[in-house]
Amino acid sequence: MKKIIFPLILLFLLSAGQAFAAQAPMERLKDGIQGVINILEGPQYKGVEAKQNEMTEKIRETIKNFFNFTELSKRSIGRPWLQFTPEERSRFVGLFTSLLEQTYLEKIRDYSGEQVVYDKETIIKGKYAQVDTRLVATDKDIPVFYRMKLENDEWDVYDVKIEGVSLVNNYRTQFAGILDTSTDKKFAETKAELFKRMEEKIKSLENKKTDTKKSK
Amino acid sequence: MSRLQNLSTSLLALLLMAFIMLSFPSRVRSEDEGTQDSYMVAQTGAAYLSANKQNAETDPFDEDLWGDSEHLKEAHADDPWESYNRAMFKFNDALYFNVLKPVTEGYKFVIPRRPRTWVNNFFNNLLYPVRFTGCVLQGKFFTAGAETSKFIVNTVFGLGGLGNLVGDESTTMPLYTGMEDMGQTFGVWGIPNGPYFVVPFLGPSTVRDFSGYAIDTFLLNPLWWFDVPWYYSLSAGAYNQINRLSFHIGEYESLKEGAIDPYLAMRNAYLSYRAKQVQDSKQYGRTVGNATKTK
Repeated sequence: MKKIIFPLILLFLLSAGQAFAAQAPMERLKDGIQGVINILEGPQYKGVEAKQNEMTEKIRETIKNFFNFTELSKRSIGRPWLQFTPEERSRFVGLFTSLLEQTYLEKIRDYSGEQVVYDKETIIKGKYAQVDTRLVATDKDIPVFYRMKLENDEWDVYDVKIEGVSLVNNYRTQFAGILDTSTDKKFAETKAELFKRMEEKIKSLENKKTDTKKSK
Repeated sequence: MSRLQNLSTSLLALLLMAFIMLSFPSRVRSEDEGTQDSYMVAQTGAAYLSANKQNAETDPFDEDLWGDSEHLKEAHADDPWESYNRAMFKFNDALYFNVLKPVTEGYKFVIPRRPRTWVNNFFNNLLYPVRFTGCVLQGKFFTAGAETSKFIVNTVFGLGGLGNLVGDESTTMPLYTGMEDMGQTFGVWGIPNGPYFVVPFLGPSTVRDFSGYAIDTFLLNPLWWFDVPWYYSLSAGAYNQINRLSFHIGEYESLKEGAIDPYLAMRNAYLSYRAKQVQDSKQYGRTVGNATKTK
């Protein structure tokens, strides 16, 4: 009897440990993406013109839940991030998040029943993960890699990579083209310039949206 | 004379034999290899991991963690002609929105998707010499064989390439069936990109890729082989571009819309995409090299 009890306890302990640990990256991503698809396909929103804004709002919340926009912003700025004040950091995260939302939230609505296939999960050093997925489109599969980080016991996406092009890296190139860290004075100036351009961009995207709505 | 004829006949026979030999084993393998894509991914992943396990640091900005450093190095921009490039980028951008896009949208409106696919298949099939040469020069004989069988089947049974009977998925082994081109081949050989270079009308390129493109176009593209006036070849090429663009309208807009600096966004996207193609090609070489060694 004793022989059996010990392994049983061990098994119990192990499974209890499992239950407390974070949800696996792939599962978490799957839930997140499925959540967005469910909203898009939801009968209360699909094709209902009046409820489109409400739908977008809900998608935004869902995405915020499994995307880590702070980590995304930090990596997009790169090392100069270490010299940003806490206020600048949170201001930047806000601007960048809203820029990405303005750009991509509308595009998500073009979704028309494509399937997402989850191929593989790789975890490195216990706190970084990559989940390889494929978006099955009509004539070809588009591989999409999500990079995730474990923070506060939750895996959240911090980068999306499609066909070798990484979101974070693409923006880092752009931000690096603006930020000049050679002297403190230049850094302050270019930082102001960066914030200005971000704000202008968001404004122009907002204007464009209202223009197209008017023309409709 | 007859000896020469004999020689050419046997040479032809030999070539045919080689083609069949090359394409045959890949077909047989396809049956027992199962899901190729995941196999390939697993291989690549494993290679990355083993290469970078040791030097993975806790530095929060370290990309080496993912084995990306080689890719990032390959995609690193060398842009000494930036002011020219930016001007040309503006020119191409205006050309796209004022000429190419309206023309393509009109074309897309008139011609349904299926005929456009046929045209696309036809031109892709026609570019077989480009892919074949690329494969051979990179030593990817299995892929060269697969490309060849695909070309023969599509040409003979697919009405001169209008249909794509074989499709893309039926290729075998961990075959890398990316569209090979000369620029990629140079990359696999270890020739660096050289300066980034925005080509009038054609868009982003590098000195290496543009040299490759010139070879692909004037030496390897059958449109330029026969004694037809250049403007016919050019119009056929332009038509191919328009037709192909009809499947990709909106992609450039997406990239541009979200960008703070569209020029830099495009440069990074182009270089990263090309770096990935070159890396996949190299990785394929390693994977197959290792696989044959262990077998």
